[in-house]
Order: sequence, then structure tokens, then C-alpha cells
Amino acid sequence: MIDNFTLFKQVTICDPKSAWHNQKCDVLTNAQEIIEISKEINAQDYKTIVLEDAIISPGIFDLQVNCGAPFDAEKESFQSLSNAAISAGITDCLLMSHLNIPVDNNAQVEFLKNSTSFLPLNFHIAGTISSHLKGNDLANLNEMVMSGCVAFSDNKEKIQKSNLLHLALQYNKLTQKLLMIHAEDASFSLGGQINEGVINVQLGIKGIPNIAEELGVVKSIYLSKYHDELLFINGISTEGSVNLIREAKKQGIKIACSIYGYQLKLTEQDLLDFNSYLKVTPPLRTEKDRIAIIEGLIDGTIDVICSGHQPENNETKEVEFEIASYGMATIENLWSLSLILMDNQCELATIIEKLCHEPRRLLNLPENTINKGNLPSFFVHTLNKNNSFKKSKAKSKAVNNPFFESELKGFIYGTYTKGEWFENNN
Amino acid sequence: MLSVNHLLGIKYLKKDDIDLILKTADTFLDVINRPIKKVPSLRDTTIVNLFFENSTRTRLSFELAEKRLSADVLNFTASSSSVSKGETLIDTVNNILAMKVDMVVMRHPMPGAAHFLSQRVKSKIVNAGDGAHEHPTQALLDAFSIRRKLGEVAGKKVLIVGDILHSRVALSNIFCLQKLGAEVMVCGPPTLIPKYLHTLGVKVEYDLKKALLWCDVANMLRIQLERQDIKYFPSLREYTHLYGLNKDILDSLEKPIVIMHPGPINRGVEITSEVADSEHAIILDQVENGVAVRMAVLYLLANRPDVV
Repeated sequence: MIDNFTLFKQVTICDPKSAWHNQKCDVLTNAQEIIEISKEINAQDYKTIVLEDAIISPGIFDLQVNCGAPFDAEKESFQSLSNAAISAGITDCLLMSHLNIPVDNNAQVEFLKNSTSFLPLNFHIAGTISSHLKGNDLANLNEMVMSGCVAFSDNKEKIQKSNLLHLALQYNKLTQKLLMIHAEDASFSLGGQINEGVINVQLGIKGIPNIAEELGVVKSIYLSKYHDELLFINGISTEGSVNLIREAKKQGIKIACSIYGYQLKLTEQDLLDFNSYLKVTPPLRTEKDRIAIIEGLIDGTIDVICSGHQPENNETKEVEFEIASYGMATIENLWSLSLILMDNQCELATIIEKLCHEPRRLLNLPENTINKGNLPSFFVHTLNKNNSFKKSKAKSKAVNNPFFESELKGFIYGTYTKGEWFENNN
Repeated sequence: MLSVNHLLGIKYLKKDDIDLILKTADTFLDVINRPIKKVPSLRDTTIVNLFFENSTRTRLSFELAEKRLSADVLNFTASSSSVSKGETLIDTVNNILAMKVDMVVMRHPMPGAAHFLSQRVKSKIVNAGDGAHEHPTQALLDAFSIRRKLGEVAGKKVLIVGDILHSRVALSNIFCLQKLGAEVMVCGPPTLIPKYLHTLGVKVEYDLKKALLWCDVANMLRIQLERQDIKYFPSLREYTHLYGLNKDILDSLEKPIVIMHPGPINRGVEITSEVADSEHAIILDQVENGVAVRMAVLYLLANRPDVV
């Protein structure tokens, strides 16, 4: 047996950037590189993995992840986040700034890198755009880049001062990192907690109108056009936003955006019983918006699907809806939720683009493809088996996952990264 | 028997439930008008009135209804409780229930609070108002009052005037009146009417005179300034000018309409004293009927066999 060599027998490669895309092959790898891909490799000297109807795809890059640690490690530690992500085929994540301890300087970036470097999951760090997440002045952007920060975002804090974004886009000509924002005009959503529509009327909960987001998207498009710089909008949620971004892209404006996996499944209708686990920002919208998001993903308007993982505990979620924290912790379901797109005539390869390749392209990181000689970072899955997602088996420490005890699409056999094969049990 | 274990909102009731409550309230209205106003129906039943928000009328009405049914009554207000020390709603209620309390009547400032509680504690819950969500007993007593005044609710045209956006009374009334076959229209400043309210099947009118000409019953709501985070209209003076009900408008209708108000009244704002005290107004009847309706609700819920 040759140490550290692992052979995946008869796996179908699904990676639109691979020379072997859509072909059934044997893949031989060690920790450093994919040694060989061919129709058949002699198995006798290697650790061999044989899985039924297996598909191999590049590791998912989750472009928006929050962790409890270091401030709220009981909600999610770096270790539990890594375990959860790896079990979900995610090899890389962009860690957003903690809202209590803003990552707005080099020390914070280095601390996070050092705290996570030993884990199987690759943590890429997003610094804040504004100092102390206050939305007033620029953070030390260049200093953070020197320490390894790959993007800037004020996370779910909505930057209301157009002038700050204007300055950030100007200053980013120096740093050339992805600027990510949440587009929402907060003055329109004051006190709102769920979508303004038929459900908020019935529940007596203040609504957040679509235009609160769409005004933010318009502002972002104009700022991007003015500076001819890329601006990335996290988690758009309305049909209007999709249409605005589609038109902007047609005009060549450098705008990009993401949606959250759960938006492919859930709508405001699911809120009828005041389920605080479904309280998110932006809020769950209508079925029409959900369909528009799917169309936007398929036609390329929407670039990325991410989890927006936001771990919470019972103390912050198991309370009255109005005082419950926002957010869902669904990193473990990102793949299954994304597969909902296949019900809408979306190719698996398109889903791989949105989950694996687009985030790296936007962050200017090296490609991760399944080709000979490349660093091995992939996951192995099947479409012919479902995932019975149980709370007792979840790797994340977070309680706020509405998909516990659900039967979800697809099954991930395991993830290969940093030279190790992490296999999931049934 | 009621189809529900709790009274969380009118939208969770069937028409038969509402009919049963109103029919039972007829009996209790007779009871509270007798020289001996008390019946032993809920003897050995302990009810706690949990009021996390200020209330006079509703709290007294519930308390009286409970006492008329011979229940043991506990009163609780948030300002004098552990809630002010950071205790959660579930802990607060479970501590009270540990003292062998059978039913909870709760008013809470947050929409869905009663629903939330009903899923997490072992007790029957009566929602006495939860934020801008529902105030089911108010809607039931309003429907009961209309029925007693006009004979029936079905086919009647009921107008609700005022701050619809922040009103749990409006929402519960809409559900209740529609289930009983009435037509509902709302009227008020456009800024105080939710954009999607029409999806509930109600008519929306911004002109008070036109709305009054349409209706058989006008339910005048109070402007809830305490719930308004921004100024939704320029001034109370302008509001009164546009939406205040006075004798001149009433006389100009040349037809009788029934005037209702859930209280407390801001005399001179949404309604003048002349109108509030006129023969058209059934405001004090509503208060009296409220006790009978709440007796009916408590009686029917307490007699349901189990809590699932």
C-alpha cells in the first residue's frame, strides 16, 4: 500500500472547468496533487474508495459565513463550523466580520487566520468596510489586505451613507478586493421584520417592502457604474432586484450578487405560525420572488449561492418572534438546497459554477478544478440518494436550522481536503 | 365544543366556533343581568391574567368574567414581576403554572406571543391582545354587540375607521366579521392602512363621508400614538378634521348607523362627545357584552377535555 495515496474508483466528474467533465473515471490523489485521472487506474497499491453512483465535484466555496467564535463560541466554534462545512462538501468559506468584534484591523485578521489555520476548512477572512462597523469611516483596508484579508464587507450591517461606499469604491482601486454589501435602504424598513405582503398583514408584524432592498440595489448599481468598479450585493431577495441587476449586467456594469440557499425553498408563507427560526434578513419573500431568483441563477444574473450561515442558540431564537435574532444556520444544507434548482431545468454544472467557481473568481483566488496536477479539494456525492438531516447528527452547534428532521435532496459521501478524506456516515 | 384548545386569534377559529361562543355569551349576558350574577361553572379552576402591557378595560373585563364564573383569579403585571429582571416569557409562565394554574389570559406587546406560548407551555391560552396581531375577544364582543343591536351580522356593512396599521382590533374584527358574513371596509389616512390589506378581502376608502354612507355600522378606532415610531400624519388636528366623527357628518348621512368604539375614547379626536354619548352609540353596551363574551370563551375553553 502506498501511503497517502487515495483512489476514487469510477466517479463521474462534474466540474465544467475540468478536462474530464461529465466523464466516469478513476481519480488518484495524494495530499499535494491529483496524481492521475483516467478511465481506469490499477487499484491494488492504493487506499481505494468505491461509492455507488458517485459524482466528484470541486469543493464548495461558501461566500458568506458567520461564526459564533471568538465572541460566542457556544453558538458555533471554529472547530464545529469546520466540521459542519466539511460534512457539507464545503472546503472553503469567507468568514464575515463578527458583529460584536469587528474585523477592522490587521490584528483581527491575523488572529482569525491563526485561529483557524489548523482546521480542515479553509477560512478566508473578510474585513469590514467601515471602522468598528459603524458605517461612518473607512476601516484600515490596505492594512487588512497585507494580513491576508480577501474581501471587505460590513456583513449584515447596512451601510446607509452613500458617501462611504463612494469612498470605499475609490480606495479599493488600491486594494482590489471584493467589496460586498447588503443593499437595503434602512429608512424604508424601520421596525419591519418580515416581508411586506399578505403574510405581514395577517400576522400584524411590520413589513419590509421590496423597495427597501431595490432602492439599495439601484444605489449600488449607480455607484458601481460611476466608479467602473465591481460591487457585490449579498443575498438579494426580490424579483425587482433580480431585474435591476440583470439590466445592469446587460449594460456592462460591474455588479454581482448572491442569494442564500434557503431562499430556494422557503417563502413568507412558511412564517404563518410565527416561526422565529425563519426570521432572516433580508426577509423571506413571495413565491414570485423565489421563482425570479431561480431564473436569475439560471440566466447568470445571480452569481453565487451561499449559506449566509448565522449560528444562534436557544436563548436568542427560542423567544417571541419580535425579539428573536435574525439568521439561519444552514451551512450543512447548502448543497441539498442548491439541488432544488435541478427541478427547474438547471444543469448540475451550473450549480457547481455558482457554489464552487464563481466565489473564487470574484475573490481573485486560484481556480479549484479537478484536473491532473491540481491541489485536491473536492467532495463526492450522489443524486440518487437523499439526506435525512437529523439534529442529533448535525455537526454545527447552532440550533437555528429549520431543516432538522427533514429529507433533503442529494447525499454527500465525503470531502477530500488538506490530504484527508472525511467520510459522512449514512 | 370549540375546535381549538386556545383562543389565539379569530383566524384560527371556524364559523361554528364563533357561533358557539356568541350563543353561549347570550346565556351569560342573562346571567350577569340577574340579581345574583355569579355561576359556579369554573369553581376550582385557577386563571392567571398576565398583562405585559397596560390595560384597564380588557383586564377588568376578564377579571370580572372569571369571578362571575367562580374561578380563582391571579393578576400579574409585567412592571411588578421578574420580567423586569430579565426572565423569559416561558420561564415566567411555567413558574406560574407550577403553582397549579389552569388557564392563562395574556396581553403582550409582541405579535405572535400567545401563539408562541401555546406551543411551549402546558396550559390553555387566551390571547387578550398581542401587538398589532389579534385581539380576538374584542372582535367577538364587537360581533356580539352588532348581532344584538341589528339582529344578525351576516349581510351587514361594517366600517372600521382609524389607525388600521397598528390595530389588533381591526385585524380580529376583519376576520370575525367576514367569517360571520359581513362586508368590511376600512377608512383612514393612507399611511395608516397596510398596502396589502385588500388581500384580506376588505374594501379600502380614504374619504370618511363616502365610507359612512356605505356602512350600517362604524367602528371608530383610537389613534395609537404609542405604537407609532414615526409620524404617520401631520397632526391630530388634521386627523380629526379628516377622520373625526361628529354630529354634522352623522346628520348629513340621512340614515341611522350604529357607532362603536373599542375604547379608550379620545373624545374630540376620533369621535366627539356628542356622537359618543348619542343614541347611535353602543359603546357601553360593548363593554357590558365584553364580560359575557369573555365568560363564554373561558367557559368553553375550560370545558375542552385536553390540551394537545
